[in-house]
Amino acid sequence: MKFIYLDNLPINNKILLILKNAQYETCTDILLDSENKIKAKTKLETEDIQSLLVLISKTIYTENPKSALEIRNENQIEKLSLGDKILNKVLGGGLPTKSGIIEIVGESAVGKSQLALQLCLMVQLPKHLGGLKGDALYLTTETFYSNRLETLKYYFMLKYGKYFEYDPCQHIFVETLIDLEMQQHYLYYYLPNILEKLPNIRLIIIDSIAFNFRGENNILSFQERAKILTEIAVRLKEISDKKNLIVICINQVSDYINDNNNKLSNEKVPTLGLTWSNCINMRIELSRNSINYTDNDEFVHKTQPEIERILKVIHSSYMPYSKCKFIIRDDGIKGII
Amino acid sequence: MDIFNRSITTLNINSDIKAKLLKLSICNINDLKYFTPTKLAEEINIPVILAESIFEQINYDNIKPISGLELYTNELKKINSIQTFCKALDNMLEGVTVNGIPLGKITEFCGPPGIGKTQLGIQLSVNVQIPKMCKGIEGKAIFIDTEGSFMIERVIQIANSTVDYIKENYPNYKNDSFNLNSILSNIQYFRVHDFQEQIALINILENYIISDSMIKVIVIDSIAFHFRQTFSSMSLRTQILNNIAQILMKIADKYNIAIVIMNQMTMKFQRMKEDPANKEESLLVPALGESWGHASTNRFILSTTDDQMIRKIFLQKSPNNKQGIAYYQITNDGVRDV
Repeated sequence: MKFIYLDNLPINNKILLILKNAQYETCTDILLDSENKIKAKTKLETEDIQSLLVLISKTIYTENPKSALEIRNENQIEKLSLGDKILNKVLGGGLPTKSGIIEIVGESAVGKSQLALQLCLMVQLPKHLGGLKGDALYLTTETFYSNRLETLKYYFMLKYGKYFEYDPCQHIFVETLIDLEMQQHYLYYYLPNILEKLPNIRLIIIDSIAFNFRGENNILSFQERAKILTEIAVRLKEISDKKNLIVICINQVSDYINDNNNKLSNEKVPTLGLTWSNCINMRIELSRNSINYTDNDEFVHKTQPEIERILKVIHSSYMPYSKCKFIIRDDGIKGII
Repeated sequence: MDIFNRSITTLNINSDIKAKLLKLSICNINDLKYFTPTKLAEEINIPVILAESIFEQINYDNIKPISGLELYTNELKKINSIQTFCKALDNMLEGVTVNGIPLGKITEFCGPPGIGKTQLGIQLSVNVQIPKMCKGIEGKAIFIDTEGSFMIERVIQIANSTVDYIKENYPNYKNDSFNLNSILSNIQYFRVHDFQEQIALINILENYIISDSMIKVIVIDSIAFHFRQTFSSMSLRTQILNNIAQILMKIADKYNIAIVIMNQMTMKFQRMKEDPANKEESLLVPALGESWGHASTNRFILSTTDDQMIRKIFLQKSPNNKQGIAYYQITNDGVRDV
């Protein structure tokens, strides 16, 4: 958010003095008051106040409107492939950049982090292979599964090794957010700086957004929590839009307690409630199917029965509700028919 | 009450002038009878034009009410609504000239995430451009995106389907000017990143409308996002929202533009009176509180049904239609009847 002092604007000295005497220092102060209130405080003429409001509004809102045609022709939105045809199809070709916050939600061990790590590798591929030719930033609140990443990388390099002169893991930057305070601090102040220093970052993953809110030392009231969540969301969306990158937040689920009989139902709901659901732009839900997947693929060495899982696009402003099944193998996530 | 007893302090004039008038012991309009504009101007040392404007205000002969019949015939002359392609929804707002989202009014859609608010917004910004021959109003749209949900890919999809719909339903319409490119170029897109930008944009919105008189719909998706929790004081928030509402109402009325506002839902905890245990129940209500509820002319609440594809729309507030329920669905083509 911009903070501009009134001194920096081309305002008549006389009016500036009156405004300052009425305790107006920044543009925000003026915008938060109504025309009549400003008039009452400063006794300025209506015309002066109106032109002042227009001047300040134009200083704050500097973007020129675009027509939808211009947006289409600029063609800024790119799509990041998930590395699998079936999954890409369900997501309309991949995850779009500039799309605000994408949430991946599911029970533990359903493959959320797996999918996220896979995307960290995919994002480094050249554009004709579905990547964004960029780096990834992985912000974790739990543990970072570096050994799982190594396994993934091994198979990834078998397939795409010829496109890399460096170790792709060098271009996945990891940071641990140990508590809520650090999470807030990092997202508000460090992140914009880091994106300046490492302009090649095209994918930011937060794994998980909820963990620090759910801890035992959680003494936040509902209102405080909601406030922090919305503020984080506002900043992440702005970054996603202005830097043309993808922001993925991983979220956990909690049991849904039915109000009528206070019984646990089988239903799982994403944590952080309606406030967070209102903040996100797209929700991808992963869940397990109770049946095991069998096929006659003898080339794959199976150590244990494979569990069938489901990926659902719950809500998105560009895709209808859709789903597909997938399994997790050593070389990554595979969609199945 | 005699109108000539009206106190001069109630007139719309500068407080300095009011003070001067009171000094001359001119307290009500009756006292002004003995002055002409020039004389008054001389007496209290103000420009003659200002004095004339004071007299204009108290010239009651000029005020003529419009008859109801006149108003009705004026209304009849223009098509005053945007169709949504969901007839059940359009019919809920049925009027003399209205069958759809009315121009010159504020219409609010409230719903939980993923219910189709953005889809409805995109559909309306496309449908406002339907040619007059095909019962459209041939206008342009402004789309204000506060959440970042406006996906161009989806707009293209909906626009293409709308072109096909017109071709199918109006085979006589042979004009090529209603096509994908024209539709896209007639949607002006504004992205808003924080509440400050939102207030600033609403302040200067009128400038954009003056520069293009064809604009007939303004979609704000959503009004609530930046105003949900950022404010420490609720009274400040209420005041800012009232301000925004006033500006929007003025624009809607002055330029005969349909203003479509998307709003989020929020949980409200309420104690049940009848319940002896005094249990709290949670209700899903539109965000931004009670006073915002007065801002819109028509208010719809969107909700899910047991069927994944079918959604319910409930007309909660409308000055000239009764409350009602309709069903709609979001297809690949856009908003449609069930």
